[in-house]
Amino acid sequence: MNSFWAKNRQNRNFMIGFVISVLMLVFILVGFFITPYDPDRMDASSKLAGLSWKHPFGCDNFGRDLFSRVMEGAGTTFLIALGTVGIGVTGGMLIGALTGYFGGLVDEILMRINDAIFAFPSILLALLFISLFGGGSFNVVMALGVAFIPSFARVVRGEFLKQKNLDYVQSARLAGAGHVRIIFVHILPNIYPVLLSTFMIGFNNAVLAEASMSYIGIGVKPPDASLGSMLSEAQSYFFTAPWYALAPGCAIVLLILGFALMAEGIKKNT
Amino acid sequence: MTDILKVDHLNVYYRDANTHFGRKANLKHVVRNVSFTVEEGQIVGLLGESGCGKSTIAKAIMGMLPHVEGDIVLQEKHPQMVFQDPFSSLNPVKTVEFLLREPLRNLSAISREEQLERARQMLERVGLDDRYLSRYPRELSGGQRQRVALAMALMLEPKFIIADEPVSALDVTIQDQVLDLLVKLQQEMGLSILFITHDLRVAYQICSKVLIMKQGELREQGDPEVIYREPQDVYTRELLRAADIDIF
Repeated sequence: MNSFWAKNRQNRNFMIGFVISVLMLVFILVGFFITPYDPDRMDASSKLAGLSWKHPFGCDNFGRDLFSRVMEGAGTTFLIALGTVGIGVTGGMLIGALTGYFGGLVDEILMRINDAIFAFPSILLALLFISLFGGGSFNVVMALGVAFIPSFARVVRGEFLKQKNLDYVQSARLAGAGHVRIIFVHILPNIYPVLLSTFMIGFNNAVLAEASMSYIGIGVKPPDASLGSMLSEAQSYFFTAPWYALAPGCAIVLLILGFALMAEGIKKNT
Repeated sequence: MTDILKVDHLNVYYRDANTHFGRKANLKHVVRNVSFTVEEGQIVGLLGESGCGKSTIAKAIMGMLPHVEGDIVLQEKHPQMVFQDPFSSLNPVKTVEFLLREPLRNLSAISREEQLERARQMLERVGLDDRYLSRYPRELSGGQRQRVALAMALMLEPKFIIADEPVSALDVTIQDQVLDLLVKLQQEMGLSILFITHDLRVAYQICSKVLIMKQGELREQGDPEVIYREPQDVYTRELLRAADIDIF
């Protein structure tokens, strides 16, 4: 971990991304516990109010404070993206490791299924999943997570194919390590820089996917806020109250930018 | 003397690259009818040009290959191997301590402290002190890495190891040190070694028997003193001439 930090600290991309991500994480974490106003409290007197000291990001069409809603929405989006990537990475890693390491018939079968899933856009798959099992945050996470598995599986499989023929794997086998130990203890730590940057890019895709799904109205249910649902609500007021769309939009951009820059930095250093 | 390794009419086949599942695999015959023995406490040199099947025989003995015919009788349950390139044979993300303890962790039932103690002793035997325990392979020189690789192979005190071109990737000055170490340890521990090399001089220095291979076939075998003086096979003569050795 120390060497990882030392290596990446020199990289400007990584450091800028790191600072942005830390700021966003602090913003989100604080939002879980306190927000300046109740994000769901409506106030007819401040309907579509502009930016002011009282409401730094302005108010929406129900007079709800946008700063508080962005805090809540960013938290929701973050958790959904994290869950999605969590499922995608866990599933993708297991499938990728099995197929890459063992090869043969298992590889052929699993990778052809993978290709078939990969052929559909992940949003479309998630839509299908949701139309079968219904909406809500939990189902969104499940749907997107499963849809994300193939892309992770592909990356992990490629890395395992590269590593498994190296002498150190043979040497571990001669030292009596079993397959499970070789996969998790010997090979996995060698590919974690690649995993980490894939994880971050996957996280960004998940943020965007959640935003798009909430935008078309199948993500979180109102009055709960997510960055995507706020964007879609803001659509009709784009010209009368541009700050309504700008607030969640900027939050999405910052959330993604931070991780994208970090991923870029890690990739460059490996 | 008892044979620690007996290889009898060994044939090895490789599957051609580009065969897919569903289609019948084409097999390529890469090792043909090879028979030899390694006696206890003997260093046997396996000589030949690149691609002649030396490493294939090693892998076959280690049980790493799928299409093998013939008998391989090995009197050692956990044979070990020292690889040519110490830059890829040591896991880059593990410390020397982890690597040395790994065989004990997997194949013996001794305690953590005992494992560490044995790792220290072995490190000393290969000429490194225990400061190296916490180092990563990238922090070591080529010669030091090969010493660590040798130590790792010897942790379980095997009776038989295969050394696959163990000094070819090293500087000439370091080569002799590592060879001397290998011979020293071989005598101390009563090891039997199958020493794979393309260097006839090295083989002459340390082997009590050499096997000359060409294109998957064993051309000649015996005492290097005899073979180098009176090569029976045309190919052996060619090899000797190419290496600039005129003893005959």
